[in-house]
This record gives sequence, structure tokens and C-alpha cells, in this order.
Amino acid sequence: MKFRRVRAVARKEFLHIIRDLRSLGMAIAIPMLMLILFGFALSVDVNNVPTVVWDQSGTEASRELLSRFDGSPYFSILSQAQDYTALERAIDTRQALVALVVPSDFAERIRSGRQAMLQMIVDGSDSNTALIALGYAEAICRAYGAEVAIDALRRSGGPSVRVPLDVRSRLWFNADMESRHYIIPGLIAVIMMIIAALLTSLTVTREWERGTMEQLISTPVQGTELILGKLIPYFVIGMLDVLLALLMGEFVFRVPLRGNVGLLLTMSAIFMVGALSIGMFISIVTKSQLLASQVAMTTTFLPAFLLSGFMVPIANMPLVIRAITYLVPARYFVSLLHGIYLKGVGLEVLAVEALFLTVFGAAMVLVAYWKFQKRLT
Amino acid sequence: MPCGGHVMVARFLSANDFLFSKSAMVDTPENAVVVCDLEKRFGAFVAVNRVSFSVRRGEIFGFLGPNGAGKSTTIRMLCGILRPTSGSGMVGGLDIRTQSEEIKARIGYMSQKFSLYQDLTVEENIDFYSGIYRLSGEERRKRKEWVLGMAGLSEHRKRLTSVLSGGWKQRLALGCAIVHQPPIVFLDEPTSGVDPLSRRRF
Repeated sequence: MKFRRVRAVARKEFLHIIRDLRSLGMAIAIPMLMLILFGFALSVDVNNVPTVVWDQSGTEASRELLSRFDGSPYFSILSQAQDYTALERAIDTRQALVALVVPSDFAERIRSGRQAMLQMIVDGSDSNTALIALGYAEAICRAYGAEVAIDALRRSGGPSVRVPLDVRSRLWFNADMESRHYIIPGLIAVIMMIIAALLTSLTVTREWERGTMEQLISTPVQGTELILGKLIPYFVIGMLDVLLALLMGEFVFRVPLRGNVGLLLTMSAIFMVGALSIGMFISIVTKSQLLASQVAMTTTFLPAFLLSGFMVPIANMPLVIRAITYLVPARYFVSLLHGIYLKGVGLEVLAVEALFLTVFGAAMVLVAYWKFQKRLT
Repeated sequence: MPCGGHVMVARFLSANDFLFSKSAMVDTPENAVVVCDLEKRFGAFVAVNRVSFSVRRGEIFGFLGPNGAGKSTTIRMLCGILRPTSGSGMVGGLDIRTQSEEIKARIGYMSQKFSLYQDLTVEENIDFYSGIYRLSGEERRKRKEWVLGMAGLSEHRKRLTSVLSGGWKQRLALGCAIVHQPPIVFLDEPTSGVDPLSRRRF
């Protein structure tokens, strides 16, 4: 491999990028757009769920329970209804996602120590929110129920009771439960995958389509020199995108970066080499720009988006899909990013992921090299 | 080299298409190119049918023939970018089957398709190919001036290749193909799409 040839190819490729403002714009605009969209718009947090209430009881006890709902950060009671028609309308028009109905005998039953009922109606058309809201509601009711029971015992002169199980939970690594804090780091993996694969997927196909490849393969340039020279400029752009994402995470989204920045950048670089080589491989195999970009989109973006654990937790997936995620390189990178960003851990914990990532990067380079032939077919 | 008696020139007939194989200072004794029973099939289609010929050093050798006669395919096999189905060929004393990479360093090839980078300037195209051929320092600079002078593009070195006229582009493509002063040059329809005056100059 001759350095002068690699340099000639890299310089030419840089010029292509600089002259083609569209691809340069794409390399900067896509990451920005994704960061802004996902950082600001996408939140899987469930807060202030609009709630409508029909309080048939209208007693101190019922008001006490409802104020616990309203007082929590998860629900906000926006309106009162007097019949089921009004409840239904509120849910149909999405003014409320949750309806609470307190039966008229609520206070009476509590006073007499019988089981009281509370009806909760949840808009299941958004099943994720519904599930989370249900969980919060149950927790509120359980706490309320326990207090009522203890209160009743104490009043009846029984021995002083302690709650048998007192759970004090602390959330580590993301104490505020900000979904942004794990979405932004994971997003870096998705962005890199798209940018790397999409941009490089065109570099070889373009030369075949324009006829310049025929000239190039008649020169003594070697496959390694050509591939390496073509990768260098995109590597630089990709790493700039990583820096852009890091800076936006730090200053715009205030995501805490607890681990080592150097380790983060090193791992990003390894992942980048693998992702770029995938794009190169696609470009070498397809020989048409249109096909190449479509293949790059479906084989890199979709798995990185859906199967990396970036948004959808891998643990919740069916067994078969979970097995498939082991083949998605972004999976390892996302857990590295989460580990470094949120937990602040280093290689001592993340060695396996780092190893897989390195293997992936090296394998992709080899595959791309192996597939490239300096011949017409 | 022993060969069956096919004579290639007789098979290609039209006047419009040209191949020149010009050899100037080859180190092999008498022949720059020797081809023997060279054949290329694409599936059932026979693109080149057992061609044999030889070209002496210093000789300008041309292929004539209608479209589809197999002129470009033959050149591509000689340049080492297309593997022959059968037969043999030597270029500059090197075997086109086993030494194609060595051949590539000693030839200049100007393909029929347009081979320059349109979004690069004249100078950047020349720099790229002299980088690929590993020219350096003074030699690199001198060869660049030579190509610019030969193509008549000294005044337009900073221009994008896409805005050049056809004749200029062709001369620049030739210049890039021979920037490393190869002893053997293959030109595949070098003057197609160029007006007669430019063609004469070429």
C-alpha cells in the first residue's frame, strides 16, 4: 500500500464532498434535525396526564384521594363530569386520557372498613401511556389504601402499627427519569450509522455510473488504497458529527456526560470505521446509486433505530428478535454510549461491548476489501 | 509465439471507430503486444472470437470495426481490467492473465466512457492521476505543465472540467492517461464526439 496513492484518493474524495453541497448539507443537516426532533419532540415520559373526574361521592374522603392524583406530577385533573356521556366525550376528544369515577358509597365504605371502589378508565389507543398511567394510579391508590388501613387500626386503639414493607426507591443514573438523557446518547449511534452508511454507499457506485471507475481500475491503484482513501474524508465528517452531537447534548439538552470523553470518542471511531465499511460494501456490491442508498437505508438505519435498544428496550422484545439484536452492531455501541454517558463506567465494565464493536469494525473493512474487484464483470 | 491463423484487422471493418496502440520505448525485444487466440464470451454471447495479432514497438496499430465487433472488449482485456475466457496475451512482455497489475503501471488507457471527474478542476484531475501514478516533486510539476500545454489548457487550469468543451475534455483525458509517460498507450475511440478540426489536432 502506497501512502501517496491513498492521499491522492482521499484528496479527490474531499473535493467531491466540498463541491457537492447537497451531500455536505446532508451530513450536517440530518444529525442536527434528528437531534432536535428527538431531543425536543420525542419524550416517552408520562407527565401531567389530562384527567377527568366524576366524583359521585363528593365527600372529604373522595376529595382527599383525588387531590393525591392531582398533586402527583403524573396526573392533572382538568375537568369534572356529572355523567358517563361527559366522560366519554372527554376521552373521545382527547381532552382527557384518564377518567376517574368515585362511587357514591366511597366514603361510607371506607368509614365502615369495607372495600371501597374506584373506577379508572384509560384511553388504551395509546397503550404505552395507558400502561404507565395505570401503574402510577395503582401506586397512588395503594399508598392511600395503606394509610387508610393504618389510620383505622390506630383509631380503633390497636397496637401502633408499622407498614410491613417500606420501599424507598432511588433511581440511579437518571434520577429525574428524563427520557432525553438516554435518547440523546443512543441517538449518536443512529446518526452515525445513517451518515456513515448513506454517504459512503454512493462513493463507489457513483464512479461506476459515471464511468470513472473503468479508468481507475486500469491504473496501478490497489483496492486497499482506494477503499482507505475513500473512507478517510467520510471518517472526518462522521467524527465531526459525533462532536456536534456531543456538544448539542452538553449545551442544548444538558445530558450529563459522566464517563471518559476520550473513551467515548475512541469507541465512536471504531464504530464509525465499521459503519463506513458497511456503506462501502453496499456501494461495491450494488453498482447503482439509487439501489445503494435504499439498501443502505434499510440495512443500517432500521436495525440501528429499532433493534439497538436506543428507544425500545431490548429486554422487552420477543426471544427471536432479542437474538437478532446480537447481530446489530449499533446494539453494542448504544450500550457503550449509555454506560459511558449515564453510568460513567469505563472499559472494565464495557469490555465485551468494546470487543464486539472492534470485531465488527474489522470484519466490515475486510468484507469491503474482499468484495472489491479491480475488474469489469 | 505460435498462433492459429486469425488476422484481426480483417475482421473489423468500419472506418469510424479507432483504437491506437502506440508503443514508443518498450524494453521487450521486438513486440509490444502479442495476442494469441484471445476470446471473450459473456454467457453464450461471443464478444471477441479468437483474435491473434502482434504489435511491434513504435508501431501505431488500429482496430477498425462496426459497433459490437469487440474492439473495446479486446482493449479491456489487454489493459487487465477484463479477464479473457481463453487465449493468451502479452503486453510489454507481461502476461495479461497473471500480471495484470504490473501491466497497469506501464500502460496508459483512455476509455470510451468519459473518464474525468467533472466536479474537479483541470488541475485537480491531473494532480489526482499523478498521485495515483506516484509521481513526485519536480517530475510531478513538469508533467503537469506538459499535460496542460499539450491540452491547451494552461489558461484554464482552475476551471471545472464540466464546463470545458468536448475537444478540451478529450485532450485532458488523454493527458491524464499518459501523465506517467507509459511506454504503451491504449486509446478507445479517443475522438468520438469531437469536431473534425479538434480530431485532426488530436
